[in-house]
Amino acid sequence: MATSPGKSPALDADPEPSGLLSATVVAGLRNLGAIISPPLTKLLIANSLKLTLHPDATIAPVPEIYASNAACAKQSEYAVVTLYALATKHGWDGLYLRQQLEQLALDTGAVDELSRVYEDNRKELVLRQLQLGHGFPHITDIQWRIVCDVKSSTSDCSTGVAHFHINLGNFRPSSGERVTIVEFVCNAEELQSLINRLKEIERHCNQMAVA
Amino acid sequence: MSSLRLSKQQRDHLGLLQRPAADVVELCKSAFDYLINGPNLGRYETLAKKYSDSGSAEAVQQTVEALISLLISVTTRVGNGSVNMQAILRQTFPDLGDDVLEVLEQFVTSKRNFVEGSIKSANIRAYRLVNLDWRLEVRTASRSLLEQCHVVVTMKLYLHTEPKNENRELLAVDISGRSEAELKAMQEDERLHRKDLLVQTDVSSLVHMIKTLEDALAESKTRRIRNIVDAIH
Repeated sequence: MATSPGKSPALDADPEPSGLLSATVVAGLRNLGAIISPPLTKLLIANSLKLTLHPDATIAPVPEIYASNAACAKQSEYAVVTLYALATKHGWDGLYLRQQLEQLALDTGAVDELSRVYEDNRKELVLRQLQLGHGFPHITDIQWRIVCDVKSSTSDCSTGVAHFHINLGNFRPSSGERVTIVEFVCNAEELQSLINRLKEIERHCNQMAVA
Repeated sequence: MSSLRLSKQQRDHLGLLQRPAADVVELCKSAFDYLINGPNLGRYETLAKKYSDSGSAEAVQQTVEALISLLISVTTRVGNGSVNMQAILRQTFPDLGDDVLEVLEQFVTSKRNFVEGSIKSANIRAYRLVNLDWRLEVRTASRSLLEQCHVVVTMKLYLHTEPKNENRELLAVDISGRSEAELKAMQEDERLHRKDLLVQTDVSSLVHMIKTLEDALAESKTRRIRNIVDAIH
């Protein structure tokens, strides 16, 4: 079988509709453009994508989606989210997704819309799925303050040196709220050695990039 | 310089200081041992037998603890090294002989740095960064994304609440010849004061971190901060 440049390598190995989509998902996709009218299909796909990319986002209520056949609409939402998650996971390109959908005998307008939305948002979907799953707390932000003690409950005199309070954290992608991962104290000497250690890591990263 | 204010109970407990200087040296040594290893009842028993005329093991322990208390009061009261320690001790204990006072002076000055580091930060036990291990990784696949190439720096931060380096070294005592209960207690102590944390970051955040920390260090060296620190001191 000849392969066109845009095709995923998986296409050669598995020309049949991939067995990744369950009967429930396929049924949900078949509702699109059929039981669910084309304008509502468009809206439903857009809402499903928004929920996938931003789980905390507030979606404007669209009562007409659920006015009739609420169960079908929910199944279709589930189907769209699943389709995009699986396509992203397996690295399908837009063309391969379209081919998969065409083999499922879906409504043509629905296939067009699903493929278009997937291609337009592929990068976001990949970035979203990169964040999923297990990982150590990811540090993206560092805060510091310099503190010098004057007197304390345990000592009448100052230690006479400034200390650094270092706070490592990140920002919640949904709300932008800052989350502290760890906070510790160090003196100037210890801070210098921390900086040296981090620079050592950076140097090794650069070496790796060159190699 | 005024004398140290000691309670009646503290003075009672320090009654054994009336003994000859050689015995006071023994008691001070026991107090040093207490700082590192905690109470040693066997040792107090032996000392009490030696002082058969005036003391039980309990009295010896109380003296040792009162000596530690004395060490802490002196360190808390006396900030810098320019004061006349001998004069303070003489005023505090007018009835002790010169040789005993000399032993006491040596006792309170020799371990002052150790105690100073501990008490100055004892009220707020913040974590200090002791060590950092790192590993450069490339994540090539995950359950939700089978094909990826994501460079991450994984770091292990070793944090410890023990305030000063020199104290940590003093705490790293020889563990051979210790009973299981002692070792267990030491491990428990270690567990309470240590925290190892695994975190990760990406290369651009790493560069940002270095830059921010360098800013902090540069800021601390400015004349303004130096002036403030000197003024407080």
